[in-house]
Amino acid sequence: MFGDICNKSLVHNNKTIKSIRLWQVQDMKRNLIHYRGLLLLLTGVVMMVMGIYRGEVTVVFSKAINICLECIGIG
Amino acid sequence: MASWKRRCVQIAATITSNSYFNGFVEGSIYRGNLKKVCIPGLNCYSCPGALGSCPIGSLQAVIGSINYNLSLYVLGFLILAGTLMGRLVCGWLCPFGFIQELLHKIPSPKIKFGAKATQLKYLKYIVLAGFVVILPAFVVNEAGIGAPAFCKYICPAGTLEGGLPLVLLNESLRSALGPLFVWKLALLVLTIAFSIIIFRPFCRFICPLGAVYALFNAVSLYRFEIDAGKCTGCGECSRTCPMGVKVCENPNDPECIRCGDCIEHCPQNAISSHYVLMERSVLSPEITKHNE
Repeated sequence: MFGDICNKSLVHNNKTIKSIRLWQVQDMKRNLIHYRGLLLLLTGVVMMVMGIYRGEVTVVFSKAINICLECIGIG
Repeated sequence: MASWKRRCVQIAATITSNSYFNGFVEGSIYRGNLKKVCIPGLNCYSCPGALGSCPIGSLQAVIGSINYNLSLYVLGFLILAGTLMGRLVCGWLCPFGFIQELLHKIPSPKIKFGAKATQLKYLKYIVLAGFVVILPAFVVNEAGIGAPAFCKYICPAGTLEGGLPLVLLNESLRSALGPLFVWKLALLVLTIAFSIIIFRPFCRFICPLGAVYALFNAVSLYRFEIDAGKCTGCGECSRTCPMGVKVCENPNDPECIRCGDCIEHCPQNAISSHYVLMERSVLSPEITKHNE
């Protein structure tokens, strides 16, 4: 799409072409962040599901519903 | 100067995560199913009002347990929260961060850390590795259970939100106080004193949760961006930043808590925040115009 724009109407306008290239780079960066983010989100969800499947929630729950003596400074 | 919007969110987050009001009356803690879920900020699950679990406490609990060496559940949660928000959690949602900001409002001479803090900021990574992961995993009792070292020896949030209210309200706990409580109380007093003169000292130098989210700031979907066309390099953003971040050099610096003060104060309106998921591909108006 960007190539088409350059060829058809902006080929003699170097400033505009530079601007378009800058936006292309920014666009690619955004896409990279987007896909990397989605991959991380997926990793987080998968890890949480695996943790729940392994029964880790029980440990978290049993610790959280009893007064944590270490946390409050009693030991 | 925090915007009123951020203050409202901070107040709402603090109240929401501590809205078991019966606990404050009875000197007990909430025991319902919501405690199975971690909240994104640092909030002791032994606070009488706490509805959710502290991710750092939960991580240590699972690591220190007999059956598991690593908590996929809590790490997955931290990856999820870190990717979605990064240190936006610190600036907008963390109750203990909010308390430190309120303390910093007390009139007194203020120390502004800038470049001086460059080395001290690494301390929180040492705390994360040493007290949250290594000690609970390897220093275990006869039964093979590791103590939550960070909560036990360092965390002032536990003393303030859990220890003090419970000790005041519960006589049986009061009778069990010992040297550890004195140690933790001393750390709390130090944290309060430093918070009055330094902006968020615990978040900047000690907090292991801040360290985790700091690692995600660079890859988080919530981002700050500088318009190079508008930025004149005046440095107003860096001067305004309460965390001492050089915003114009790295708008997604690990220390940035996304308070947005730089956005408010930029005279050129060159800094913006955006969510990558919502604007994945953006065409400049110029290109769009030519494309039509």
